[in-house]
Amino acid sequence: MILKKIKYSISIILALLLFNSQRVSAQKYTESQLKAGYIINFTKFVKWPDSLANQNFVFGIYGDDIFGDVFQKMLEARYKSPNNWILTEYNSIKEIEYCHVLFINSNNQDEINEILKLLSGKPVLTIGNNIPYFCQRGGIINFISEPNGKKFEINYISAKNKGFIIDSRLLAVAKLISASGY
Amino acid sequence: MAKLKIQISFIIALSFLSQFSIAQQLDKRIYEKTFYKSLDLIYEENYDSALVILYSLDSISAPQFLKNSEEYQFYLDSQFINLEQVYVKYLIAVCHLEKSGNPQTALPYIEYVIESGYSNTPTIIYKDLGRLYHLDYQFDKAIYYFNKYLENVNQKDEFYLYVKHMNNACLNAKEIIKDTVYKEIQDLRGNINNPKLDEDQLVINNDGSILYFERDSGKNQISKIMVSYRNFDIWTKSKPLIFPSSFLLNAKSIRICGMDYNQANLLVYKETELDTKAFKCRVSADKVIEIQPTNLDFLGNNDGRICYGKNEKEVYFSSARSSGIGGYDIYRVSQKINGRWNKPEILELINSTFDEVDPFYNRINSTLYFSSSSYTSMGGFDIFTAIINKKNKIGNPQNIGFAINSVGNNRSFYIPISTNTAYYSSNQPSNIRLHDLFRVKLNKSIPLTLLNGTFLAGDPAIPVKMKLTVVDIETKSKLKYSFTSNNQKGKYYIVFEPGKIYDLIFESENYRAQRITVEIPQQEYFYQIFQTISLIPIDKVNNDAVNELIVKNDFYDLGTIAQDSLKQYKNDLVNLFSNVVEKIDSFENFADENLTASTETPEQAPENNFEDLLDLIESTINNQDTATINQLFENSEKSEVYSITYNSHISEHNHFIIIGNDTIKTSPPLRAYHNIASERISKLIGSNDMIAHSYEQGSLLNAKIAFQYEMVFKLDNYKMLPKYFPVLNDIVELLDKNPYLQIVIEGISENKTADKAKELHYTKQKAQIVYEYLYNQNCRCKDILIHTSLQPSELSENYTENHYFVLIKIFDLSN
Repeated sequence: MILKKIKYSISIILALLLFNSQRVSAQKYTESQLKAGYIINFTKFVKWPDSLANQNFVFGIYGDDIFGDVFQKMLEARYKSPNNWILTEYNSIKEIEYCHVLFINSNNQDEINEILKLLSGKPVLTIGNNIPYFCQRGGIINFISEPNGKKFEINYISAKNKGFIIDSRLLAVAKLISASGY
Repeated sequence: MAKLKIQISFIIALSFLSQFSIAQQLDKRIYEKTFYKSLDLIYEENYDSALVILYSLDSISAPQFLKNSEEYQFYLDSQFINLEQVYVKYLIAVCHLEKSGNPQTALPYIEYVIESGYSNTPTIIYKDLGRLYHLDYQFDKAIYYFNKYLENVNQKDEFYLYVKHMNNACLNAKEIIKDTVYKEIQDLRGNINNPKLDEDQLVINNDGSILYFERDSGKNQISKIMVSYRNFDIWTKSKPLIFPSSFLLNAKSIRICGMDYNQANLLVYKETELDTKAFKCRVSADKVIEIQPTNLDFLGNNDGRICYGKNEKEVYFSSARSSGIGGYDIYRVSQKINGRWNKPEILELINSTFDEVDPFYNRINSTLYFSSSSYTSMGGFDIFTAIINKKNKIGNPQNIGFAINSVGNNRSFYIPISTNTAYYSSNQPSNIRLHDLFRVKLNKSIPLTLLNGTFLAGDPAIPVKMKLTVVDIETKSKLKYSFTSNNQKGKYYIVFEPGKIYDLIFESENYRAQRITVEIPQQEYFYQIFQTISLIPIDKVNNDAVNELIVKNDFYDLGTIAQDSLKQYKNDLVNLFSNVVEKIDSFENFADENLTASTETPEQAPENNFEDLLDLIESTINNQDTATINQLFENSEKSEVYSITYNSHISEHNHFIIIGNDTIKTSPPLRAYHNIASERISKLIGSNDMIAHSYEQGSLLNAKIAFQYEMVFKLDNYKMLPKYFPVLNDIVELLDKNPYLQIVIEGISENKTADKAKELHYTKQKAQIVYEYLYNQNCRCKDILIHTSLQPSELSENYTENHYFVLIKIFDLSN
């Protein structure tokens, strides 16, 4: 009886090891890795106004940082030595200075309104992390989570007003919002 | 010369445009001239050149110059736009629709035109828009626009039948994509697929090592047949198959016909001025070294691909001959004893007035695979299966399913005899007009479902020792195993046969026994269900006999993550679990953390794969491949299929269940079914808890509260407890079905700190978390109001710690 139990215990452990081994080998990306990947690629499909083209590229984050060190590692993977990228976190609205891209990850709608008003007319590519009505309020790109739907929306009117030229290939994969916002 | 002229015009136009910043308004005269130039180019069908100009025009402010332009100012999302802006977008859409490539690129531009309210929108655009939404897997929208087209035309319209067909295809597609049957699909990019050319009509030899296919390079070639060899799972660079020049002498075309009975040699059609005949070719490397005529003398000019049936004396083939039902049909023909062929028999059950092509008979499972564009497809050609029984009768055709089938054309399904992999051709993700070849792994059916999870009880919930009995509802029999959870970790494991309904009876000392009815869905893959059960003591809340049971199940489909390494273990795994079902009586001392823990932590991509990920993402944008983008994001999340929460007075009546000689007193059964939401909704709105009292603000003054629900948040935590999700989902559905209801989300704080502003801020944030959840579930948010207040709450009496509360009040405005 004991032998029988041992035999089956070993079988179960073997089964679990099998589960485990194939789980580890599975290739999956976390949502934050995907978003970091898309943000880095967005910059290839968006043309900034000429006056900002040759500066160091400033990427700002407002709100909870979902990326950790993923963003830096992805930049290294893409650019080997991404010295012209400056990553910066803003803990309050007052700290926000000029940046090329501002990723906003906040639930506070008042803060979001304030930021969008602050950056109104400035050539900052604002990217919201699943923020309701972000593009309708003048944000440029917003990650959204519609089942079977587009995964980000773009307000191309707002982008145009701020002097950005967005490649039509990027527009084609986004849900388009047209609103002038703040 | 004309081309040169056009090019020069472009250069002039572009150089002119580039002198202006995009914010500046271009001179009206030049804009107008450039605009009409683009129109000329469209009339000349020079869409690529027209697009260059139109994109430039689209990026600058348009002056008004079209007739009646003043009348065509549109109000679109807070801004005025004029006719010229709409017209430019319309022309961009026309170019994308007409030029070869990805017509889906036209979608945002047509959406813009439609949303602008442009009154001269031609009806045909509804057909195009419907088709684009169909290609984009947005079937509800596609159906809407197809119907809009049908409303605006009569039955004699040239596209009427097509649009009706597509409308039906969308309804089919909605059903088919609900279940992703095949997931391990690989695009044979690189040495096989050329992104700019069309690859189609594949056949493959018996061990899957030689692939023949046709590549249309746009040149006038007698043969388009290519060959590639598989070397350690990698296909070598495909080469044109070289035929002896003597064979090509009088040939108009050489095309693939099929493979011989043993799937060893290629069969080709040779079309001459006189006739079309099938020949058998022996191939070495990229050369045909021997050609023999075949005995397939029933084949001719109007015939398509063939395959052998259960023996060498039976052949299936597609043909557009006049005796058919419509278009191409599939026929079966058998050989007489004297070697001659009988009259081909049309297979009525699987043929339709649409096309049926590319038959392939798999002798391993007696199944005929074929492609059809009939009413049961998703829009283009779909691959179907039909089982052929021992009496050679053919069964009803079944759609092979998503994601082999897509909204485009899926054809040439072929399985090498000795492998578990199939090959087929399908539209390129980035270019619907071109086809690529794909490989799909045919997973063996593993008809088992593993339920594992944790049993907890008490508040705070801790693992307890629990006895679990399982009853098959259909046979009313107790399964011969029962499990006792480990009282240190509360883990339990059960293996089920899928496609059945089971009662699970949980018994634990000092807790009322609980019965849960679980439907294990029919599936082909091995599934795990992770289920956490938390039972709160009966007398916890005011001795009111409230029994709260939370059942949270996550489905995790191993089929999606199966790797090659799993292949060799799959059979062992099935046997292993069969043993478990048959022989093991208890897992009392069995504990495993890995299995459960691994469900909670998303798997991390190895860091050195970031480069691949970035390249992949770039290509999804470059190719406007929304399907892959969706897949990437959806694969990054686990899907939650079952999730139910009960907080009702369910224990007022005891239920008894008799199993064999045992009688167990339980609470009424809970049913963990997919569509349980509607049942709970009726409970929500129709329950005795309905309160009617006034609300003191605005339009809700004196409105009746139909339902009130309270949620608790901890002071320092902004996360909503998962137990609230199902109730909120029900509320979304409730609002969806009842337009006269309005929600107020009320954040309430205890006002225990001195900083009122801060307190109010936190209170509002908690309410906003609830709002955002509802918003993300597509709740009609215009009917949601958020209020916050600082007042002592009667809700807090039940809680010893400081909490924030969010009250959801649903007002009935029907009166």
